[in-house]
Amino acid sequence: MNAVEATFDITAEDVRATPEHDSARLARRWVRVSLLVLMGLVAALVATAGFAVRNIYTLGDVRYVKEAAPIFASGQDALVEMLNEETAVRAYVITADSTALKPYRQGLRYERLELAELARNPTGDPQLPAHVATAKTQVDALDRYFASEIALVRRGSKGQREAAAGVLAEKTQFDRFRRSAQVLESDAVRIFTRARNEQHHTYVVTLIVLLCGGLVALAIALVLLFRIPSRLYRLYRHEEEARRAAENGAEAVRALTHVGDAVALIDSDGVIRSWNPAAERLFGLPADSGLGRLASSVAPQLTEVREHAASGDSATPVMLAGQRRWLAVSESPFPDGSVVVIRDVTDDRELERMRSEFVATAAHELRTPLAAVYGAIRTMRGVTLELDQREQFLALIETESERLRTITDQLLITAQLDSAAPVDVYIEPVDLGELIASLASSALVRWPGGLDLDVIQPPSPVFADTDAPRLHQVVSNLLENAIKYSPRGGQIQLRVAKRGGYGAIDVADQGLGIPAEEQDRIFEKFYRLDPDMARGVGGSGLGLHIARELIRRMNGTITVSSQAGSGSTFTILLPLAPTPSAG
Amino acid sequence: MTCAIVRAAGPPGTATRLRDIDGSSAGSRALRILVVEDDPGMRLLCSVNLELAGFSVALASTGLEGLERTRHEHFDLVLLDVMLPDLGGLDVAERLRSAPGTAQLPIVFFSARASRADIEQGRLAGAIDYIVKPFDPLTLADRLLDDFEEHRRSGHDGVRRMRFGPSRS
Repeated sequence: MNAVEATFDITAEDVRATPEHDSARLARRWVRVSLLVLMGLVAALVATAGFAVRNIYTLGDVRYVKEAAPIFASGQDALVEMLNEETAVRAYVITADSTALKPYRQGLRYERLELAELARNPTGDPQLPAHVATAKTQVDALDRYFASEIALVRRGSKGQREAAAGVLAEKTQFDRFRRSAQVLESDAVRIFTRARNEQHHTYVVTLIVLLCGGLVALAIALVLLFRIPSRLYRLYRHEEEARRAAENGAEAVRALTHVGDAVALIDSDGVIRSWNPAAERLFGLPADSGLGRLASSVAPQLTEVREHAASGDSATPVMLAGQRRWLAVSESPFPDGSVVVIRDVTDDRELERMRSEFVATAAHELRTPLAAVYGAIRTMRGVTLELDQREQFLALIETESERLRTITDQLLITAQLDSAAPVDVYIEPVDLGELIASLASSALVRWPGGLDLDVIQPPSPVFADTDAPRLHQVVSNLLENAIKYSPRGGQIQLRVAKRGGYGAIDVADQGLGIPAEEQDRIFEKFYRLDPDMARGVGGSGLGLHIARELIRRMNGTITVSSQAGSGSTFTILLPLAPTPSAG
Repeated sequence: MTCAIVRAAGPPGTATRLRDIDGSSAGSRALRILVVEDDPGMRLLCSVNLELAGFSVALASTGLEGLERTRHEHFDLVLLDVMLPDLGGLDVAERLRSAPGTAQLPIVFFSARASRADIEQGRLAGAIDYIVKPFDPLTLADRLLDDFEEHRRSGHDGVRRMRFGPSRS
């Protein structure tokens, strides 16, 4: 038992130390061996019991019933038959009646059968044959005597008297036979005793063997009973863990397949153990082409990015498929390597660049009117000005403050357009001609020299479904742009017309114009004709973006047609409203 | 690169100071300044303050107009906006520097663009100073006069070293 325990007792340390599958294999083998031992024990017990039952049966039946009993019976029967013979012969001697000899003849025959039976000696007793031989000699002598007596009686009455006188001689012979028969009888008793002793011995041995076997089986069964459940539990736990690990693994692989970031498992030798479809896409490699190979040879860009990341760079520019992409990488170590997550942050950086550019632009845009306001106030406080100069400075402060308000409004509207909250638009029938007329009259107050404003009204009023203040804001912005981009003067046209089912507002200038390739982009947020702002007029890059977004919310469209160098025409189309009958 | 910061506003009295310096160094001739600026408000601010300081001021609202004026007239200094609608201030500066008649004409940028990169671009375009908007118009004349004097005294590179710091090339 100690040896068994020593071999199969796996300590908790062993389980932790050996890899999972080894431990599970050991536990499985232990359970199998235990079951085999149990089966062996049960088989041994059954065999022992079978052997014992067979032995007891054989001894009891064969030796006792079939061997010893016949010897005993035959010994007694031989004596009885002899008595029958003698009695019959005596009766014949007295009566000379031949019918009295019938038992004699029968006894004579049976006597021989009994002696033959005894001579067979089925038990193999060593003394029995000699005793049987002695008895047979005496039987033969007695039979010879009986035959002579019968012969005397047949000779007549003289012979009868002679025979009667010889009876005494017969008695000694008979007593001798009787003793032989008794010897045979004691032989039978001895055989009985021996058989009984053997039987008893077998019984005792069998009992001891069964008892010992049972005890051993019980002991082993007890040990197994205590051991198997824990082994089975450990085995179950191992298998459960393996199953869960496999499930987790499958889940993880499925999750990784859908992760947008590229994920790669790279071991400490730099070999790619696994990577997800996003990584394949990022590095433009066919599936599985990188597995088991060195990361540095499959995707040298990755190595470059990892080196830069290790030295503290948050993102590194690399060439991927002929394009410059910014990659950010984060690594989580695992025992044999790293999980590397690679993210393409090019768009993020572009957005960030646009945002910071926007902040710089917005700051610049705010700074310009602020400079005028601040400068005007400093001047007015610092020096004595003529009255008309004072008026000029006050007007300057007023317009520049308005410009500041416009820019801050634009910034707010842009933030609002970007957010989820809807921008309120109140749609109502608006007379477009009236709108441009009021717009023109307020614009003319500060109209720059060298520019003409031409307002073209429709023959009959055009009503459109729109938001008057918002539309005013948009057209005013277009007009400001037209002025800003007409540095050499010329004419600006403001026109309202009915075009198809729409009310149209055109703002046309003869200024710098917009290159064809830029015309689609000018409505984008932050887009500027001169991204470096090295020349051209200032602007937040928001005006046209706001215009497009507001017009879209009024169910209209805004488009531009332009030729670089010869001016631009912006056209707003708005759905017509039913003309009011009273209007 | 931190030199191009607007100096703190001094007490009003630029005209008096100008006369002192004028008397000692520049003679009786008033400085003739060309202001190239597209924003009318800014033009007004510059012209009023510089004229009050005794300068003779010419105004141009576009880069091309400014270039045109330098071809026919003499100026002691050009105050140049960086952002102009037709030809940018940097381009104007380049053309002035490359034309034989105006190669030595001191150029001072003034702009609301105030990043280090912007100021460095101004230096590379050959300007002797870079004034960031908003600025105090009361000290503008002093600043331009200092620039002009320094330019005359220690040359183009000397004044640039003073305003922009040691060159990084």
